[in-house]
Amino acid sequence: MGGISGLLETARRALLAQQFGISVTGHNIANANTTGYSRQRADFVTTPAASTAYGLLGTGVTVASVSRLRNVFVDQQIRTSNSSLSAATSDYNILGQVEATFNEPSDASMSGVLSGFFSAWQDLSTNPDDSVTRNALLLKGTALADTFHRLYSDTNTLRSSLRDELSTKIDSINTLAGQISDLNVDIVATTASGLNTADMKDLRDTKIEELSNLANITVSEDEKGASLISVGGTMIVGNGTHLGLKVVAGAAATVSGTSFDQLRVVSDIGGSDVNMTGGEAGSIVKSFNTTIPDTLGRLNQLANAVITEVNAQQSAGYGRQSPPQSGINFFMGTDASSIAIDLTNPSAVLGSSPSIDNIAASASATATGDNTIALSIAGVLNKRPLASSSGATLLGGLSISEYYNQTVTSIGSAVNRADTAVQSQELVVSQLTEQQDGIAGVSLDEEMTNMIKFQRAYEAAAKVISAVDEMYTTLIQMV
Amino acid sequence: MRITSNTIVADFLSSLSKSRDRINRLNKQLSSGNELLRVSDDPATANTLLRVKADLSRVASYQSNVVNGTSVLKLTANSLGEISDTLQNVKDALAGASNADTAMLTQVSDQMDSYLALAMDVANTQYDSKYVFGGTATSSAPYVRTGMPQQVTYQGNAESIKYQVGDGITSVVNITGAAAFNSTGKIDLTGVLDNSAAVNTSVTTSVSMTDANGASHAVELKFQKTDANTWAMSAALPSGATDATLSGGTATLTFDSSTGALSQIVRGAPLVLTPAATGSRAAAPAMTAMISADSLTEGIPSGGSSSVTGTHTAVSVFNKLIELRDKLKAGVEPTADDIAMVSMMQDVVQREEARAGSLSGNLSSAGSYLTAQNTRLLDLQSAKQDADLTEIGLRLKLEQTTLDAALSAAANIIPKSLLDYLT
Repeated sequence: MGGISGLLETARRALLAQQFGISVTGHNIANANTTGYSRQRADFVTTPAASTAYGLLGTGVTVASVSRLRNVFVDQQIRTSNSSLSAATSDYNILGQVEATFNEPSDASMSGVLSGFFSAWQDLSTNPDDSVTRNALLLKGTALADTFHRLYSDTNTLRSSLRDELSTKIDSINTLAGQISDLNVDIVATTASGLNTADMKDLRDTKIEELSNLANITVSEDEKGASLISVGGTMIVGNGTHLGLKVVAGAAATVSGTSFDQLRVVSDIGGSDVNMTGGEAGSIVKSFNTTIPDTLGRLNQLANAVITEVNAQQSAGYGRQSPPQSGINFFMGTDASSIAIDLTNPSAVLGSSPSIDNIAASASATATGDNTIALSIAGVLNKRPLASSSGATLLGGLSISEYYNQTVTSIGSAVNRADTAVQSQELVVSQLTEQQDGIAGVSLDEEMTNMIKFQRAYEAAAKVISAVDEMYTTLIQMV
Repeated sequence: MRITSNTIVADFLSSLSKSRDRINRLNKQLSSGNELLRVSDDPATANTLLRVKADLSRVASYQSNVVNGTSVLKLTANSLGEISDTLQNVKDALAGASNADTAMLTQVSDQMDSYLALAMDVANTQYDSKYVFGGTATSSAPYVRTGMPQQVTYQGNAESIKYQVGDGITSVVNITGAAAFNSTGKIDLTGVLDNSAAVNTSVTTSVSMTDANGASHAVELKFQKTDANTWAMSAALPSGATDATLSGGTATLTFDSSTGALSQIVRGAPLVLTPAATGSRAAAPAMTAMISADSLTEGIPSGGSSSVTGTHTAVSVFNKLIELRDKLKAGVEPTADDIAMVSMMQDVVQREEARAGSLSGNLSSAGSYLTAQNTRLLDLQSAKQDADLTEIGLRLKLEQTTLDAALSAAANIIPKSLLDYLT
């Protein structure tokens, strides 16, 4: 090209390029606070040189592309850490509720009620015949049964609520999978037509990050630029396709001696199991299937041990009836939800009702002042090992008090572990986010500097045009 | 590294939230006074705390048992003291009744009746509507008058009542009437000792004694001639016997050389048979018996050799008083044996009174141990649970200063950007 007109063309290209640069800067500034936005950069390249008599001459600038500045590797790490963080947070919240139900260490808790019940037997041992003491014991026994019911039903209610919560989470996973699959289609098509896909990719990354909070996902990208996502080895998002998930009931499993219904996450089509181990959904599945049943099962075993041991001793003793009777149980039921006061005389001819007269303190049918049974039952809280009627060891050889403490401490330790995991994962995620922000985040200082840079270049290009204009004027005046 | 304003804001918000979290926690600790708010704050410490709380509750039970037991034993000891005093009065009255006229004897008989009433009243003492001296039969009066001629029968049993005063430690808190008032008796000797026997000749007889649990124990009584008309008596268990231990039971018997009747009996310590515990059953109370040889004579026995039979009869304090009352009323003077018997009964009552005192002493030492344990547990609980208010106050102040500094720094720095300097 060459010549004055070529000069004007070069300046025009410069004006357009610098203006585009300011547009990109403006877009960056506008999206400085947009979640998931990656800063963009106009990539300037020189236009092909023209051959002149003096050699090659540059012909100016053009915008080759707009690049999206983002570290994909950091994104991967963020997603993995997000999954762990969400799972730990969900664990912490769920187990924290179980811990709050137990309300230890405080006086209004199971440990206090257990101590109170066995202290009441101790009181009875000093006053085996006294109605007031017997009534007090009956009340403590009722409180014990009520506390077992409350703990069991509160924890079980929490567990049931997890079923709905899991369905909600799976719905969200399905929605996100659908959206990501649609975005895949758009991105592949837009890329093919050579247009800018930066903002679409940002949107897709945001959705993938949301998904990583819900499940343990692995993300890869195919050669056309579609994100492929799988959960625990099952592909759920492809290019334009996605696999729906659903929650179904699994076969009941025995946890800590009690049979519990289980939940499974399966694919909509085919119904094969999806290995949901991370994210909020993974945490809920684990809590529903294992963690909470363990606590409930332990409560059942504890209640069973209390019922078995107290009944075994009480039924060997004699009550305050006339004539004194033996063979009467203190509790009925077999577990934490069925434990209740029995104290009814099975050999009574007429319908018998629970009576404090049926509390057996005495080992002797004749001596009402004997306290052998009361003393012996008072020691049950710390007695070990306990045995069932068939001779099997109960509570793994621990005493009622030790087993309860172990149960509470294990919940506390699990909450503590989840809390530690939350704190450390938060740190990891915040560091990774900071790292990503260092690359993708919009720095207003930088954008302002860029704006000044483009503005000045624009002004300079304009100067070139006015110089060319002057050159034209000079030429014309010469004519 | 590129730091954008979003990085600064995110960092600041995260630090701020952590700082507020810490302040919130410190505030909760300060207002509740507890270092440990939930088990998950420190599971190991919480476990210790749960144990300490259970221990404290148990110690409180034991302490209340000690208090109850001490009260019962004090009442028991006082009651036994009163009966011992009554028996002293009986002894004095009996001493005054020797060589008395009928009117005087009647008067003493009336005294016996009132002593009997007093003693029975005391023996039927109740604590917290439980009869103290009935063993484990606490709901009905242990001593009632029955039959004609009148007798006082014991309705209680010989069982101990035990309160728990420590882990695996129980302490007896009762003295039974069976031990204090019904364990006395006499062994009546009948038969003939050979007056022609050489010095050092001995003869033995076996006496069966039935204890409060219904078990029989054999006791061998040996009579050895020490001088003309004088025999030394001693008691021993059959060789190899393990069912009981025995002490006392010695006496020197002197017979009238012409009539052969007993002229003098000099008794050593009374015979005390202490049954051993059998299996899981507690031992029956010790039995104390006085030797009575009024029906034993010295002469020429039929068949040529000495023959003595002993019979043990239990005599309760109350029945002895009835016997004395009726005897005096009939105008019969009390004998030296009567006084000796009452004296022996008083010794037994005093022995049991001393035992009540020593049981009470055991309880009080268990009580001081429990108090020390309670203090130790409270210290431990406090160390594990109570918040150190000074430290928390200081930390709270520090956190607040940090928060103030962070807020002020953020307020000054965050709004700054290049924009502030462009014209």
